[in-house]
Amino acid sequence: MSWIEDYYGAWSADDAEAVAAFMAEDVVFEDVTAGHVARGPRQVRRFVEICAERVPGARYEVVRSHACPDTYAVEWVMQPMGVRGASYGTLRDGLITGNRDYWNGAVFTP
Amino acid sequence: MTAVTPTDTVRALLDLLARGAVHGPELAGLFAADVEYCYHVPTAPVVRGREAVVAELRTQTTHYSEFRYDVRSVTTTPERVVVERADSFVLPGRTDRVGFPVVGVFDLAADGTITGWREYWDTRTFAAQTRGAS
Repeated sequence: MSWIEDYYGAWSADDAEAVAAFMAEDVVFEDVTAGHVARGPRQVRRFVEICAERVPGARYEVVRSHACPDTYAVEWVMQPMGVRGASYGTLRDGLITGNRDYWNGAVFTP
Repeated sequence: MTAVTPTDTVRALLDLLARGAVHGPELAGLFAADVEYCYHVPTAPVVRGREAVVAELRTQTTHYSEFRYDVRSVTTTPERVVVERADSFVLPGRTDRVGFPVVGVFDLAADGTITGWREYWDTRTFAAQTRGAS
């Protein structure tokens, strides 16, 4: 599951370019809890930058994950806050075309 | 005979809940003896063991009626099923439906029984709809 580890590693490093490199041109990236929708790698890159500004130092630990040719799912923990969440996504040719993050906004407000 | 897939098992579980069929043997038969269930990660306690999980589900269904789930997407492996859903139900004393998006993660054993079930959702969505309810 190396790409998932690499992908969350890019998030942990606040590396917006690296995160965006996982995205397809037509990606729709949604943080369901935050109500934020990013369309296309450029908006995803900006979303990573916003997250880094609002939650500096956050890093993501992958708890469980699986990836199929066209879908993936990840359970993760955002540290050091200990926020647990899950993401569902779709893939095309190894690139993310859709992602939706689910976590509890009642336990953490960025 | 048609093989039962992991997705079939999870849908069977959700269908039983939607029918309110929580007192028959079918529900317990879907779970492994050592199943662990958390209806809201991370704030809800982890319920361990088949009998305790069935009891928890029976208790939950006394808090609402007309449970409905709409599947948005599913991703599956032989050991895991992840279901994105829109759940809704009716609370006592109300006629409108309370709903929220949720992703459920189900772990399955080789024999097809559910060994783990974790639900991720934003409790604020639920609270916003029930605020002020008596």
